[in-house]
Amino acid sequence: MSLSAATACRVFDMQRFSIHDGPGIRTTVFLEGCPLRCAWCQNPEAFQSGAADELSPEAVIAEVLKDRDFYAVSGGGMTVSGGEPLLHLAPVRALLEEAKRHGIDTCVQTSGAVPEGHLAAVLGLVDLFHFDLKHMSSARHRALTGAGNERILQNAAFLMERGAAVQFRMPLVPGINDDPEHLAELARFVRSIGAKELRVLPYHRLYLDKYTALGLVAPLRGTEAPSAESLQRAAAELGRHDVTAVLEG
Amino acid sequence: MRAFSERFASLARAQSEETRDAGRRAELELIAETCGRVPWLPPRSFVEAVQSLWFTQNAAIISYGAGSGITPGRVDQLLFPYYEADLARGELTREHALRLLEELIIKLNNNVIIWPNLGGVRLNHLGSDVENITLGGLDASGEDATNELSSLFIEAITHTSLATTASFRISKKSPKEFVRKVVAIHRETSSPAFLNDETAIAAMVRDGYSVEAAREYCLVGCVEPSGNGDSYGATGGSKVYFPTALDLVFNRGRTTFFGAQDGVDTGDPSRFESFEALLSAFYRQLESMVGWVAEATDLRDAIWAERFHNPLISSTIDGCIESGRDMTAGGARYNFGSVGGGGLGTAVDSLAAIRAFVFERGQVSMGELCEALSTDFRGREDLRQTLLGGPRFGNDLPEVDALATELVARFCAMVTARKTACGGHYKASLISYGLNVYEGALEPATPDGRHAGEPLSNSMSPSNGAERRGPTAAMNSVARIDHTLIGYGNSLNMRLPLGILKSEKGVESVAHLVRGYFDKGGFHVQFNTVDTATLLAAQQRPQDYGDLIVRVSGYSAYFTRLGRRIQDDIIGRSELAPCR
Repeated sequence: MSLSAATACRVFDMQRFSIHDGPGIRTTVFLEGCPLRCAWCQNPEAFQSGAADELSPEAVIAEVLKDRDFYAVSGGGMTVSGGEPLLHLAPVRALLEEAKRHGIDTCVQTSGAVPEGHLAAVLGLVDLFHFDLKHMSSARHRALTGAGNERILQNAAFLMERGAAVQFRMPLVPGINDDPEHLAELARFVRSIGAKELRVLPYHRLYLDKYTALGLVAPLRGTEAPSAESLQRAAAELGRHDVTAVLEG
Repeated sequence: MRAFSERFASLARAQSEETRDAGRRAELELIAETCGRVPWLPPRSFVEAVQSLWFTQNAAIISYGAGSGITPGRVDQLLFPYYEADLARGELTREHALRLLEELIIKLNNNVIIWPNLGGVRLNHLGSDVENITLGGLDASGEDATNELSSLFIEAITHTSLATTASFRISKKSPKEFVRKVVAIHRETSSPAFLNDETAIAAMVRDGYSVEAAREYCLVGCVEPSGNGDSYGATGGSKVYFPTALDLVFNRGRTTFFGAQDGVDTGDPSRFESFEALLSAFYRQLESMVGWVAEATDLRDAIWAERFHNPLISSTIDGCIESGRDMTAGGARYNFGSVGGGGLGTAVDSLAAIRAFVFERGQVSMGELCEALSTDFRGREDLRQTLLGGPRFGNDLPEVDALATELVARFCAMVTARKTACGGHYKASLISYGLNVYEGALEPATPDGRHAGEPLSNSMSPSNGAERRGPTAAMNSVARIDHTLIGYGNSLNMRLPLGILKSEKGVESVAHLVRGYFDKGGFHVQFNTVDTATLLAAQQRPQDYGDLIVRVSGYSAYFTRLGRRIQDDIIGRSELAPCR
């Protein structure tokens, strides 16, 4: 099989039996490269170029298809994650097209920090978007991730306008984005674009070993996971603003 | 039988006359009346039915002298008519029925056999005394027979949190909620086994059962499907280990352990010129091993037929009274024998390593490999590491899985072709009861890089540590084998991280994993849900973990009461990566 450079997928991991990355039992394909540098990033290996395998979309889907019987019984499929999987449009679009050619359900986990055209180009190929909302203040967003949030918020609104199936998710990081004022602002934004639910992903420390292994220093190495009480408080605060919080993880 | 139950009746009568507590007196009078009636006369109520079932089971075990081969069968089906009638008459509540089932579960668990010195320390280390109960599944007409008692048994098993060996029959028609409840048992205790009705029934029909009789199957011992009250045939006890066949090939018909010329001389292994030549020698050795074991089993059965008639148990098996013959003498309607196979993963990984490193890549010669194995890789750690890195069964690799598929098919054909003295044929099984650890202690080093004395792989499972691509990949590999050929069952052991069942999504996903495996034809799967850290802590501080229950093979046991080597083997089984 000839590997076209334009559509080569830079895959740094594939995880079968993923059960927290969309409906049912899924295979999650992690694509390298990300425009953001979130302080709490759990996949720092996605930053480094050279660590990933270059695979054709057909080769990736051949691996994904091995578990299609499990997708069938569970309503699962393929999730494309990263990194930011929509950063390089040609490979991810080819990958999603190949999945759809085989009737595989698709979920894309995006930061939204990509040109609107990249979202528009995959709209019809994605059954569900997981869309992260990290911070409502653009200045804070820039300080925490290296980029402002304007484009992200516009893209969130764009997907809702276009009728895409989107689950909005927030990484709940103690001391970073869990104060009531911020949660209220976030909830108002979610309602303003027509969504009603927010998936809350509690920060955890399990990824810290990855930084050590890569010779990197984790910016939030001193931050603890949120307590059960603070999670309940956050859920209640979102609830006060008519947003249903779904606790994950 | 009557004298046995009457002893309980008269003791209860005597105690009831002495007690001044009116409530207790009423209880004792009920006990006296119940035990005075059953099992000699038919039960008239749910209470009498439960008592009758337990007395019969208990007396059967005492008369036979061991518990693990005798099962009460489909207990939810047997008891349901009595439950339904009592509820309709207003003489029983769901709560009272649950209490009676909890007591039955406690009884089934505390009837622990202390094995005689013959089995000695080893069998006691296995912590096994299996009285397997079967729940759920199809009825004789092919409809789902899961009932209210199936659910009550789940509650009783969960409430008692004992090492109950319970087999849950799952068909395509099983209610999803029932499967979900069975998965959720793992939150409390590590005991349920999942059995695939479609595969088990197809296997039974292949072995000569009518489809109606096949649909009524129950599980004997660990995971051996058998007719419900119409069959005789020790489902275990006679066994070959596939890695032994390799040992015989390498040593031209002598095992490393015994050293005598027991097997066939299949020629100088260093002169094999192709992998096919080696494989053909392997199958010649295996065929002769199956022959020895079947002949030894025939001898055992002849002694039983002559000296160990059991009219009590025979009276509970269809066919014995009609034919006027004891079960040991061919009286049952269906008769079978068993030859098990062990160490599948170890043997397949070894064959795959030989194919890859000797014949395909030429990295090591057969002579060099034989030498390394005979010295347990002394001075050849480099070679051992190479072999350990070879392709392994359990990773969804079609070319490796094909070796397993062929091995099981040929083994089953060798076994099934042999007739038993009672008129039936032998059935194959691939279950280990934890004995893979002790067999491994007798086996020399193997070409998969395993050291001499280390455990062999268990049951149909991939070798410990060999699974590198998660549970779906392992299931794809194991399900490539035709499970309907394996008449007396096989077992796939998997470990789940404890965290997975905290969420409803996790419970649902495990249920989907089971359904997906069964759709592919898998026969049985069971899960341990305890993480490695907990098991290691339990080894360090057994006093703090007295209630920790794990699935060993086709049965559950208290972890801290298992022998150290069995404990280590369970810890070594691949744990799924934490959910992310």
